[in-house]
Amino acid sequence: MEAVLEVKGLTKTFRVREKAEGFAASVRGLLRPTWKSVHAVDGIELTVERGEMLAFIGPNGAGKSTTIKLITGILYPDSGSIRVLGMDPHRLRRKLAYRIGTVFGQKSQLWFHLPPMDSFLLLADIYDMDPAEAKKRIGFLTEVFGIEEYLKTPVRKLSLGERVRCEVAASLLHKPEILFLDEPTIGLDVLVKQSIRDLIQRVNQEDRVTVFLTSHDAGDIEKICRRAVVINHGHVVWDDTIKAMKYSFLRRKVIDLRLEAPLNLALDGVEVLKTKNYSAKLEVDLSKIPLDDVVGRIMRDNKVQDITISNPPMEEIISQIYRQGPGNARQGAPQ
Amino acid sequence: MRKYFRILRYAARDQVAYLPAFLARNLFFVIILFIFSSLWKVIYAGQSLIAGFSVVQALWYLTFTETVELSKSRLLTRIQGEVKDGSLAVTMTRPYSYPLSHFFHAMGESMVRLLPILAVGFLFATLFVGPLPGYFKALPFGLILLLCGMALDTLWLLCIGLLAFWSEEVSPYYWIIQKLIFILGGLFIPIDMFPDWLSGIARTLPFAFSAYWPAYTMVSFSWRAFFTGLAGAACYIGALSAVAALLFGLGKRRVHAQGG
Amino acid sequence: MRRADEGMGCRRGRGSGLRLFRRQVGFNLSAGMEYRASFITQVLGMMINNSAFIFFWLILYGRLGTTIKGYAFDDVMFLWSLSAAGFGMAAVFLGNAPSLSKSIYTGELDVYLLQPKPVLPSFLASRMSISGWGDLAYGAVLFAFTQRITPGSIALFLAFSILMAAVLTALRVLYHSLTFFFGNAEDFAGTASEIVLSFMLYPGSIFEGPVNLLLHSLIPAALIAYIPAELFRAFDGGRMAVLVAADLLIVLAAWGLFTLGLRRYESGNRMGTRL
Repeated sequence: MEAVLEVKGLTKTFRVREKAEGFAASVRGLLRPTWKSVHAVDGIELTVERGEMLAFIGPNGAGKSTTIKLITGILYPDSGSIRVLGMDPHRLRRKLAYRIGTVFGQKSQLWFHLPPMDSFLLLADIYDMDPAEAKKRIGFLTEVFGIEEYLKTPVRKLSLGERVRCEVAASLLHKPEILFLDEPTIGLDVLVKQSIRDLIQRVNQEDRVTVFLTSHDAGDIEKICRRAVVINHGHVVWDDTIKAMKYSFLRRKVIDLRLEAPLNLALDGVEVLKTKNYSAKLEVDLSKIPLDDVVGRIMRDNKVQDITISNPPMEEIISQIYRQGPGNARQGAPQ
Repeated sequence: MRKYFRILRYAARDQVAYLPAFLARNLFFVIILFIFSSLWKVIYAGQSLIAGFSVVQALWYLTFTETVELSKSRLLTRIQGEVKDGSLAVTMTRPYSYPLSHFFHAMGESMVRLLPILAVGFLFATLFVGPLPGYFKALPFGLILLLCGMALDTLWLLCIGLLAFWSEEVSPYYWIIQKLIFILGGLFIPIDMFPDWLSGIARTLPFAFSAYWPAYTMVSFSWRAFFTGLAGAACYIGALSAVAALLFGLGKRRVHAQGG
Repeated sequence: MRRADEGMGCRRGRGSGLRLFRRQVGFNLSAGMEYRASFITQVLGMMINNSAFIFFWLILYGRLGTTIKGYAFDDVMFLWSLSAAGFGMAAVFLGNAPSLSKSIYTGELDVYLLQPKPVLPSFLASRMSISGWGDLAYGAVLFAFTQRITPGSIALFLAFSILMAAVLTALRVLYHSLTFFFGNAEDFAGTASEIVLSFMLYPGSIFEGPVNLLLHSLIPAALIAYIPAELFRAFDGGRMAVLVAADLLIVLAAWGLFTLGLRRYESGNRMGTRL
């Protein structure tokens, strides 16, 4: 299988000038500045094969944005090597640009005052596309993304959901081999999120575009990606398939109870997450005790008004991984 | 009446917050003074008087006309903003006169802007062409006329601002009035230097009382000049106040009809 | 290893750069038509403002009856028409220059870095100030009314306008590039640009000594307005060459500073880094 992205021993440290409090300290700071080192990226190893759908997850300040900027060549690293499609992204940035697409949540590729159609035509020129090819491609993307209706409306008049659709379409105009998405669904409502996710999946399946997605949204991760890389404090804390991630946490179940009296239950393998008056939330470790034992005991010792049994939410899985830290990094073979 | 002076005080305090704009305004003042001092010095090379003005008087004249101009408040943007975002409904239903409150607010703003500009003008005009003879003697009277000039400017802004009740873009009206003050009011050069057919008329127009008369009284003091400036200013202040009141009366009706 | 140009649509050569530029201009224009009302207001304001100053110079020259250190009324009008045309040209074709500071500290510059085109030209051309067309037209009309029209004079006027547009833009890039090193220089850059524009409109010969030196260097009003005015009256090929060289130097300095600043941007070490 072909590796489209290879990262080895990547580090990046920022020198940030310390801003002092108080006037005297500020003056001192002006004459003799003190610098603080921020180790944004502290040794990242990563290999991505063609056609993969990878989720790049991490809390704020973990180094996600920095890593993506290093990979796309916006920043240059302090040490380590990056190879995207065989190229050093910083030195061959413009050459690489023809083959990758980007969607950055906060920054738009579309010209604000123009209709998306005009932006597409401009981008086609920027990417040196043959005009006839470009027209065909725009037509195709318009249909797939369902943006025909507002293709001629100025971008500033579009809703966020409509704009994001156009952004993703724009990023695919020049048929990139890798698509980098940084928080693409931020601020969108559920329905729109789902449609964008479907589109990204379709693009991956039909055109074998490798997808590299950073997100906070558990739904994005769960529904689009097959592999997750969790990064915290500048290095990889977990790297395995989503299936594996869920599996190690599927051995837990969450039970929500509404009772008629305070909870009466003490079992090994059952952790009470929270209680409030007559309701309780429990987590069961299925490796320690079978589910029906737990449920039976609850029903026997309590008057239950309502009971809900569910899997732990993705958010929780992820925050647990964040908390795990470097010692527990798991590296698995991508599927 | 006390509440209006309170408004004035608060407006004055407000100004101190806008430091960058303040610095920029004063910087451009110095630059204009420098450019004109260079210009006048070249023009005056070889003559001591033009239309009765010396080179020193010519530059100091500009200092005072600019003082009134640069002390202008942001009354216009305020009223336009209130009309556009609908906060007009709030400000108009308060228990005091809408135009009066805006007037005092603007005057407060202007008076705070006045002091540093006066100081900067004094400093740099002295630096560029030397001190103005009779400056301190004329100052109390000149100040009165400067304040009148500021009041006139404020009333112009108020009237134009009230036009916002009818028309969305009132800036073009403001530009026209401002340019009339520039040209006919003798902002850059004293009206005495105008061609004869123009100078007579220009002296009597309202624009001259925003720029020419206060500045002329300062650089070439005479009781005649002072009282002419005062009388004219008073007349036009009265006239413009009446216009403002009229506009407000009509505008109020329109606002109520339209729902604000 | 796949071939570099597979899966991309047929690649055209460098020539498409010009077509891109033309297309960009066309689109920016149509976008601007949306803002017709605001355009009219701005152009109106500019014309009212300029007319007032023309009256000022008329009255002044009327009173003086002579030239001001070599500058006649027509020469001052040349300065005004050139300034309007040069300013307008910069605003129209390279109108995104004033947004440089903002794009740096918000990280918007990234979008241009990720495109397969040189960053600076791409950035500068991506916005057009519609009211700039008003300035351009005004400059042309004022020139036609106050100067002698010959193919030579028109060519010269065009050349000087282009030079001015280039240098004005270069200055903006230079001032705004300080944001790469010192944090938000937006206000400074705006003020500095305004200062240059202010000086451009007055007869340059009235300035002497250290100020004159300043006007030939840091506030290069002389290099874009005064010397062209003198050359327009009395052309001298050698002087023209020196002028073009000096202007070119400024453009190169701006490009150089921008490149250095971009390198700094790519190191991520920014004042008040946003992650």
